[in-house]
Amino acid sequence: MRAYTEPWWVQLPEGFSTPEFDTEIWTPRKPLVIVPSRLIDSSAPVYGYGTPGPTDNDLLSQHDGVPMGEHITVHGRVTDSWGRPVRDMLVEIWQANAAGKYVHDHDPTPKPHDPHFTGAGRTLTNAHGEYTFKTIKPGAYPWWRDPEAWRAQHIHFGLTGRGLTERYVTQMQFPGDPLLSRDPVVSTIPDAKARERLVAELDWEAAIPGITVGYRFDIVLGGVHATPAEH
Amino acid sequence: MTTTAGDRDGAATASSDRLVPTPRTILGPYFTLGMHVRPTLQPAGHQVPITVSGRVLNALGEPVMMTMVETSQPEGWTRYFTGLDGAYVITTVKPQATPGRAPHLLLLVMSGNFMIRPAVTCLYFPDEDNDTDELLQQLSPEQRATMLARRTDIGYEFDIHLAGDSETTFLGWPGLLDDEE
Ligand SMILES: [Fe+2]
Repeated sequence: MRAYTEPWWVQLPEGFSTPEFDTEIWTPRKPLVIVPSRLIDSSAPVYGYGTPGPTDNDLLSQHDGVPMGEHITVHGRVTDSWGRPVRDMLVEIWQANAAGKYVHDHDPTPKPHDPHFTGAGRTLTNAHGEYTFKTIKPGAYPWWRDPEAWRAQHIHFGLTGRGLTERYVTQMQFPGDPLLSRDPVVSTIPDAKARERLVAELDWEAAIPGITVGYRFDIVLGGVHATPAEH
Repeated sequence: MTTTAGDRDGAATASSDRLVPTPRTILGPYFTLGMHVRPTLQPAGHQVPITVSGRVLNALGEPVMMTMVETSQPEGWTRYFTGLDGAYVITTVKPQATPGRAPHLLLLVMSGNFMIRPAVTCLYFPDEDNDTDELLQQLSPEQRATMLARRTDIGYEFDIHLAGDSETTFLGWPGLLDDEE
């Protein structure tokens, strides 16, 4: 078992640790109590409330003006680890603006807000498990715990299935980003191959000619479905 | 359910072809920007409105901020985020009992800075008959005690201890970590 799946928390690699990042006091230590799946089944329709509107996945058009930055299309497919598409999954994303600034009270970065960009989007996967967003390429930003560490350009993904226990949180990185090796969150994943799975690929078929650059980011959900027979 | 048979390139056909999962990452400090919808459940018909409030605490008993607390029950789901005081309030309806199960809320808690998956537990009510609940029967009295809410004048109170001596009992299921080795 790798450290980062043990099973809830992250352990920062050497060089990134700061004293207050002491996971001992923040995360569960007792072994999980394993019970049959049916006893923690949560099959309530979790996306019924606040179902995304038709334009909630277009972060370029949420304001009167056009946001600063490189306009991109991000799309991909959500599957389980058997490769079966997961449909009707609520996909929520959040990201910094082109300057690397979040619309969030806690963001200490001395960078400007973009009045035409919020950085939040929502959509549901279709019958093929596919999602699409139009947005901007976010800026990198210094990590708030250590100004020498940088968060490489990324888009956060929060996925909610029909059962809450399908909750999945990951993030999309950009190919060729020189800051990937300076990113403390990416660095919590010890395996290089696994880190690569966070990196989207350039996808000209998804690009809107003259308007957006396309990226494809497929998401494989792990540990969510015990066996195919349970569906 | 949520999936259909694999019908596209890359679809695996046997368990030996299992795809490697995308790594999980933390929510980070700004997740409330994207996961901003906070559903509550309003009573319909004979359903009884309830509030469950409490705090998310670390091993030192200090409040844990920037933590997502979600509940699921047959009637629907709710979501809330803790602020500086680590406090949460769930506005929902009393869950119905189901065969073999006492009324309970499935509760997920995920702190923004440290956790890459939610910790899952069940919240039970002190004014219900919990003795015959199939899940509780598998637990020790000490484990059960950490999953029982307290009745207050205004509703129910339930502190979530992420760590420490009074750590809440967190649940897993077979296969939870299998494909993330
Ligand atoms: Fe971020």
